Amino acid sequence: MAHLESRVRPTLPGEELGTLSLSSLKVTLRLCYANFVTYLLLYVTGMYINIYITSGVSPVGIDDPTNMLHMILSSVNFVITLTVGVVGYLYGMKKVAIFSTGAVVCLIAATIGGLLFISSGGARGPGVTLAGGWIMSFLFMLALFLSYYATLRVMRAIRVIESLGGEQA
Amino acid sequence: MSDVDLDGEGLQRTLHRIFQMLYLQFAFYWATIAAGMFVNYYYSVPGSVTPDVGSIFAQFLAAPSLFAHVLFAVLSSGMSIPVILLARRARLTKVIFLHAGAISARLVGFVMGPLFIYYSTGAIGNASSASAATFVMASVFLIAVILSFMSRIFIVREDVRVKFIVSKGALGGGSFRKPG
Repeated sequence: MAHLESRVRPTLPGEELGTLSLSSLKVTLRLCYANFVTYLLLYVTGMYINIYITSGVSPVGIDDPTNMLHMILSSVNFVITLTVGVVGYLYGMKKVAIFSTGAVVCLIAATIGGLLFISSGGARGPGVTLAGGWIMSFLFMLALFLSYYATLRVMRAIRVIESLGGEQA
Repeated sequence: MSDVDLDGEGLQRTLHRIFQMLYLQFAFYWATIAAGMFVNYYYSVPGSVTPDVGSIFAQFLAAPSLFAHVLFAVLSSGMSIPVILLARRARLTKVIFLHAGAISARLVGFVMGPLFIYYSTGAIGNASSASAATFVMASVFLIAVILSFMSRIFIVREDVRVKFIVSKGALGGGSFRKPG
C-alpha cells in the first residue's frame, strides 16, 4: 500500500522525490552514510600505505595486508555506489542516478589506476607507476565528491517528503 | 547570535549564498588535493634547507607545487569565514560550530606542514616524525572536509524547511523561525 501511495507523490518544481517509499529512502540514506565511513577508512589505509609503506622507494605488494584491506574497502565502495545508482535509475531520481554512475565510472578507472600502480612496481617510481598512482588518487577523490552529492539529493528528498507529511503527501 | 531577523525570502537568499561559498570551498579543497598530489609525487625537501623558521617558510615560495598547495589550503580554510558569518545571520548554530571545527582542524594542518619540512631537513633527518607529521596533516585535512560536508546536510535541511514554511506561510501566515 505504501508503495502505491508513493506512486502518487506530487511533482514539485526543483525537487526530485522519486517513487521510492520514505522508509526505503531512509535505508538508501543509511547506505550512503555507510559508504562515507568506508571512504574514510579507504582514505586512512591509502594514506598509511602512501606515508609508511611506499614512502621513499619501498614498494607495496598486492599481498600486503594494508593493501588488501584497501582493496576490500574500495570494493565495498563500488557495491554501495552501484546500488545507490541503480535505486536512482529504478525509482526516478535522475540526479542520484547520474552522480552515482559518475562515481562508479570513477571507481572503475581508479581501480585500473591502482592495479597499474601495483603491477608496475608499487613505489613512487616514474612513468606508468606514477600515472597509475595519479589516476587512482584523483578519481577516488572525485568519486567521493560525486557520492556526496548523490547523498545530499537522497537526504533532500526525505526532508521534502517529511515536510509534506510523509507518505500521505 | 545575530540580531538580524530574516524573512523567508531573505533566509533563502542567505542560504543560497552559503551554497555558493560551499561550492567555492569544495573547489579549493579539490585544488588543494591536486596540488598536494604534485607535492607528494614531485617534491622532496632539498638538502640546503635548514631547520629554522625562515628557511622552512622560504620553501613555500621555492617550489610552485608547495606554494599552490598552501595557497589553496588557506583559501579553502578561509571560505569557512563567510560561511560562518552567513550561518550566523541564518541562525544555523550547528553550521557555525562545524565550520569553526573545520578551521581548527586546518590550523593543526598548518602546523604539521612546516613540521614535516623541519623533520625532513638534513640537520634533523627524523623520518618517522616527518611521516607522523604528514599523516596528521592528511588526517586533519580529511576531518575538515568531513565537517564541511556535514554542514551542508544542515543547510539543505534548513533550505527545505524554509521552502515549505514559505509556501505554508503564504497560505496560513506561518512563522519563519525555527521551532525551539
